[in-house]
Amino acid sequence: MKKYTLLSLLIISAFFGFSQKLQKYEDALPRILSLPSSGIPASLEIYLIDDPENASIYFQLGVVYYARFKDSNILTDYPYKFGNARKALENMLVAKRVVDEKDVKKNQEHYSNFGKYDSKGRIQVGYDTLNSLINASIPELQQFLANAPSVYESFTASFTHYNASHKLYTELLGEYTTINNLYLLYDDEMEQSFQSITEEYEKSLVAFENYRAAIDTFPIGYDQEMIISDLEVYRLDGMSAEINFLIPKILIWNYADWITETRDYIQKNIASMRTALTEEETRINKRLDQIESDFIRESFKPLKITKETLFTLRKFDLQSVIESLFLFKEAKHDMIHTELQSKDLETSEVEDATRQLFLYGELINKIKDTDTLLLNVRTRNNADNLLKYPQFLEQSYQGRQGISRFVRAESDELLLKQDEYVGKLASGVYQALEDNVIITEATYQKQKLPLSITKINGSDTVTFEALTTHKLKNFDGSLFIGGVKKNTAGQLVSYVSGITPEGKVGWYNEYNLTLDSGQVQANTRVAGMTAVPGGSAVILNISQPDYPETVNKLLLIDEGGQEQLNIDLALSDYPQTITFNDRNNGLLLTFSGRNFYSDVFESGELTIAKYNILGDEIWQQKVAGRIEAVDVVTTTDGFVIAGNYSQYRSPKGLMMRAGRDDNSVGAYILSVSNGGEITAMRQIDADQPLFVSKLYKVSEECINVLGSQAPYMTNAVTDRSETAAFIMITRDLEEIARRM
Amino acid sequence: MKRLIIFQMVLLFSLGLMSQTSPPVMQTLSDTINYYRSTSKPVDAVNTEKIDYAPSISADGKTMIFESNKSGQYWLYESQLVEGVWSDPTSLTDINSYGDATDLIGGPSLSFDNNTLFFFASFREGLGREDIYYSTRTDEGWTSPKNIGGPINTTGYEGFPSISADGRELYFVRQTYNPLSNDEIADMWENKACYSIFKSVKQSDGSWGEPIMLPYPINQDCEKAPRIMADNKTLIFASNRLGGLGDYDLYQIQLDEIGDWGKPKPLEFINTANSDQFTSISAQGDLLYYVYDSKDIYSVEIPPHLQQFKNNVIQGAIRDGDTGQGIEAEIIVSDAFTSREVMKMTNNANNGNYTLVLPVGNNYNVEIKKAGYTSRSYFYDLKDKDEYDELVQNIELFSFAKLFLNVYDIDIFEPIAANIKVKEAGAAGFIMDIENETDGKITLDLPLGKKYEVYIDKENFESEFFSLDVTGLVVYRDFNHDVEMVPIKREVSINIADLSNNSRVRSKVRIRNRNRDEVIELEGNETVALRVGDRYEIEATSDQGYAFNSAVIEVTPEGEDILTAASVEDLDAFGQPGATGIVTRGDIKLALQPLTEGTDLTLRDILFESNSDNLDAISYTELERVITLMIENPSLRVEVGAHTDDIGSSEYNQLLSQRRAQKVANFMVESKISDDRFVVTGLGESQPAFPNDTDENRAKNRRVVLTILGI
Repeated sequence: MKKYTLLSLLIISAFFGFSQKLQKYEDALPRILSLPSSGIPASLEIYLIDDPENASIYFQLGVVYYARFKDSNILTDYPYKFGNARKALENMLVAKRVVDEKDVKKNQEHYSNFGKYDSKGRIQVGYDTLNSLINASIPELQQFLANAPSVYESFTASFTHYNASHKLYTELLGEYTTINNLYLLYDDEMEQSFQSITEEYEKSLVAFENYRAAIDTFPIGYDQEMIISDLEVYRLDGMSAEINFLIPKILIWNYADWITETRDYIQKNIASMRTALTEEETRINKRLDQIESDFIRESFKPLKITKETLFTLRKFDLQSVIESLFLFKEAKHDMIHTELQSKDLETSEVEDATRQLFLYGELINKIKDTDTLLLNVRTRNNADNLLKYPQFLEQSYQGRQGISRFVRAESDELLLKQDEYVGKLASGVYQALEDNVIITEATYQKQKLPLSITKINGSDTVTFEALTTHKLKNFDGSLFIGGVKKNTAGQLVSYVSGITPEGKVGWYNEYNLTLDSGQVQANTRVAGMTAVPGGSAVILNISQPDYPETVNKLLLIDEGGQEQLNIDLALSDYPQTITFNDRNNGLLLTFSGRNFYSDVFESGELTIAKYNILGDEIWQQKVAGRIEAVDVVTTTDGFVIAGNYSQYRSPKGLMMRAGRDDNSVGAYILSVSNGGEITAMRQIDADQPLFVSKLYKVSEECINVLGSQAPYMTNAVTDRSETAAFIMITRDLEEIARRM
Repeated sequence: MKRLIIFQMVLLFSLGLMSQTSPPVMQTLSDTINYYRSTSKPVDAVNTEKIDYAPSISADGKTMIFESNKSGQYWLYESQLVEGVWSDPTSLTDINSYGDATDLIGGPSLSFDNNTLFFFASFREGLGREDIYYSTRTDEGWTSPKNIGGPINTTGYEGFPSISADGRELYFVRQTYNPLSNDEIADMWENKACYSIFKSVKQSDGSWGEPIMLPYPINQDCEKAPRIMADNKTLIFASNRLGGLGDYDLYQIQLDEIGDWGKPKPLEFINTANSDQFTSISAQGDLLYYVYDSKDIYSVEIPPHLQQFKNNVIQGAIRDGDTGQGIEAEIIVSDAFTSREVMKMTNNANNGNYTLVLPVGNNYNVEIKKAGYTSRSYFYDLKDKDEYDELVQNIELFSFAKLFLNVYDIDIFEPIAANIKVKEAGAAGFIMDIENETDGKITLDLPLGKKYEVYIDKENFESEFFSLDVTGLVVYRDFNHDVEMVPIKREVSINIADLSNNSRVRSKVRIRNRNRDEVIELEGNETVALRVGDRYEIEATSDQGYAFNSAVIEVTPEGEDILTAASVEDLDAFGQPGATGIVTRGDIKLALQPLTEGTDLTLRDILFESNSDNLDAISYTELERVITLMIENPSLRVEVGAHTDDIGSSEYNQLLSQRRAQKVANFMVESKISDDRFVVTGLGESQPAFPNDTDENRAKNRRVVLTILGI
């Protein structure tokens, strides 16, 4: 140690001895004292080497350190303040010992910064001034050094703990974007966070109390108080980024209360909900298991998810997989019930084909609805849900993979059911459309009237023999038929006839009409027939090749063959369909082109017109393009039309084409309201060529579009072969199922 | 000179003394210094035949800006360290082309975040011969130099600035004309310019404070080339003071905890007999760049014992989270022990880049703020760290709050499509007036910094209102708000009475909402709150020997009569109103027909397709009631009678009615009602209930009636 001391002294003495010419202390002192504070001690200490007995140096060092101590902040500059206090005390204690009245009197210039100049320009320093400074500073410094650590430590502890609490809270809220997510995802880890936040917060309060107590006994010039606010708005309150404990009113958030309230809420509401969910799952599964035995009317009740449970679940989570599972099972129960009803009717002694078709339609709709709900299960089967309901999903479904397996199995089952019942529906519809003709013809005045329909594609196929082109079958077995034949002049004439259930002609009307007020002989064709209350409505088309004028005539013929109405319509395109709607006593007619048989390539714009039963036009709508209508059914809202097109302009103004070239044909469906608004129109998607030929309504939710998955054929009849296309839609044109 | 020789002898003696007593230490120190001295090497990629001078390294150590006269004038150049290799220097044209051809530009000091460059130049516009300027980095390059002005610049010489890591202190030199303290040095330095080191501190208003000359032992004779290190406590400077190895030598000095500069330590691993000056160290602190012999830039590894306080560098970009554009924000660093503000700075306004250099041994809160944007805060725990680290923290701030609304019916938790209006608090007009989707959801983008009032309206629901105050601090911009819409309800008194004597009947009432999934079940006569605007089907049954009855009502607001189905125009299709359903203001009275022999029960809503016996789907609701009646009254026997209007022949209508009655009977059979409990009768047009003179009356005449045959 001695060696190092010697070495140091040698180096210092060598350095200063050879490097500088020192100014006299008293001369240098004013300059030194004018230096920045950071430079004064070093400059003073140079003189201490040569003059270690210089009392002024200790005093001046004490003054410098004391000034720094006084000018600094205990809370923000603690190490600086504390260090300077210690140094000041050291030097002041020495100064107290070495600075005496004699020294001051002798070395007035050494204390010039505490003196006054007298009238003669001499510095005058009073010992008492220096002595009182020394005596005042020493106890102050001693008190500070004794008390400051506890003040500082309690203050920093309070801030540090609150800062940690805030940080943990912010992290927590960063993880849970909504309060409901936080409720549902509460687990041990979150509880650990809760505890940490609370602990840090409470430690902060305790430390602050300690700090307050410390500054009460040792005032430091600060008098902070905490202003505590409750957290109300999730993710807005409690988020202060700048936390300042140096201001008089420290704004802090009451994280501990929030934690307590949140935890209480979770334990009260979420725990009970979880119990209710488990109980509901058990109840639902039991009902599903016993559905067949319940299918005794007296005891059967639809399965309904407990509203309270469902509502509570939705209150916290609108994307819950459990809700989807419950709703799926509720729908499945309803679907199975309908299936059981359908099976029961299949084996019942009561034969009711229309009711059977209705049940098939209902069932297929329910299969689709159930499948849609199953899709929701699939969509919501995510990690988020598993985190929210781990126990429920693990116990009831063996987790996400278990749900996936469940969805796959249910989906496969639904697909099989759909295939089965669409097949039955299609079969039933085709059967209902079968024209089981026992009596093939009726005779009127030696003229044979066929009782089955022949579709004609050209005038050449028409002879003097009657060809029945339209037939309406009444439920009592009676018929209205309409047809065409040639007269001796080669013109086409039409007939409409009522056939009794026994196959006899009840009445017979023949129409051989002319154009241009009788100036032009013309062809008269039955363009359409539909049943109306008490008879039928018939639309006749009168035209002549190469003659521009065409007339469409609307007839109402009662069941006795009497014409109740006979008027010309203003529209001259060829009528394609006529449909009666008994809800508003109206007739809907469609027109397209001039061709008397169905051919989309010969068609033009499609005109849809509604008439009242007196033949007054109520409205008409047009769809531009090359488009034909093949069939119309009524709905509560209006009509559904099906047909084929090569191209058309949609109600939204888009030109829709069936394919790349003009020879392509596609099928469409269209709904028009009773008021004449086209409410929907869409193409029927198909991978292969498709055209439609018939609509068959079972119910509002089961309207069946029949066609062929084959190149377009004019005037096609209902295809029941392997190429048959069967598409089930609703009145809103939603496709429910297809069989192709 | 004599003194110098004696001093060296004493020094050697002293060192020898130490080596005798503790050779391993001495050898190690010596070896260490020699080793590190050996790492000194020129940075070839930037050095030229000319003078390459005064390098300044960015905090991440990847950018160097220096001055060079390689083009004939002293200009500034920039080089990038890419995969350990310095790139070819490029001229800082934006700065170099600012003045005229004779201007000297030098002494660069790159701020630690790379965004501001301080330097000195002799531009004509200066206050003195050489002044200190600064320029900021943009996407296009550097801005035109700006004179830093007084009180830093004077009419004299100011040069070689060094900016501190927090951007609050600027060290620089001014030429001094004071006599040197030592005659020998004065002789050697005759005719050479001499400088002193000054420091200016940025004031709270952003202006620079009055510079002070740093005291002894920093300024002694001729000092220059100050570099304040990233810790803000270590200063390296060049000095010609006695004790050096020759010309300028480099010294390192540190400000201690109590505010005193310690003693300067010569950088022995660098200093040579030639001039050694102009250091620059990246925040990593282990590599020092300097200028050797006043003409080339060298690098040297720093011995561990001389490495400055350790720092951590946090850098990244602050961007608008929606546009991805860099934005200028305020970065406030505070001491996480005391909440004292340690540093406040702004980042680059163009690309959003920032760099924070934080000394280890402390904890920090870093707050990022920008008016009209979300705020972010970060906590860095560097208390126990003892080594350099670089952290990347890219920050996204958002100028819009995303308010995710979820509007639903509080009663049944079904989503609601509602009208949503938003206005600023206190403003007259709405800034948004939109409808949300049927799933009840909508997202509103609301600029931050305002208080909003949100109104949610839906017909027949109580209006909802809430406010969102995003004027203050917003950390997370996503706000979810569930809007629970309370349906407006009306108290409706349900009275079930005996049709024959008006006495109260014990019954069950099932109220089904036709507009939504809501079913209410009551025990007989009660008051129930029903939703205004909704249509309800009220069905009363009794196991006390009564037929069922039902009515469809539309609940109107308080003060108006509740409408029955028959009062609603578009309900024609549902058939005739309840003949025994009597509606008064706010009261529903359903009279139940006692099940007595001969009583007729006209079924409602039994509809068939035109000219057909096909039941419409809607008919099954009423038929289910019939089935329930039959089940609950097992001794009940009925006649199912169907009627038609008068259109068509009577024979035809007779047959039609027969088939329709049979359809109803089929359903009873399907429902397991024994066929000996009913008979089927087609009554055709023979018993019209109303004259067949209008479509409405004809519709009423098309009906199915149950006639009680026995009970």
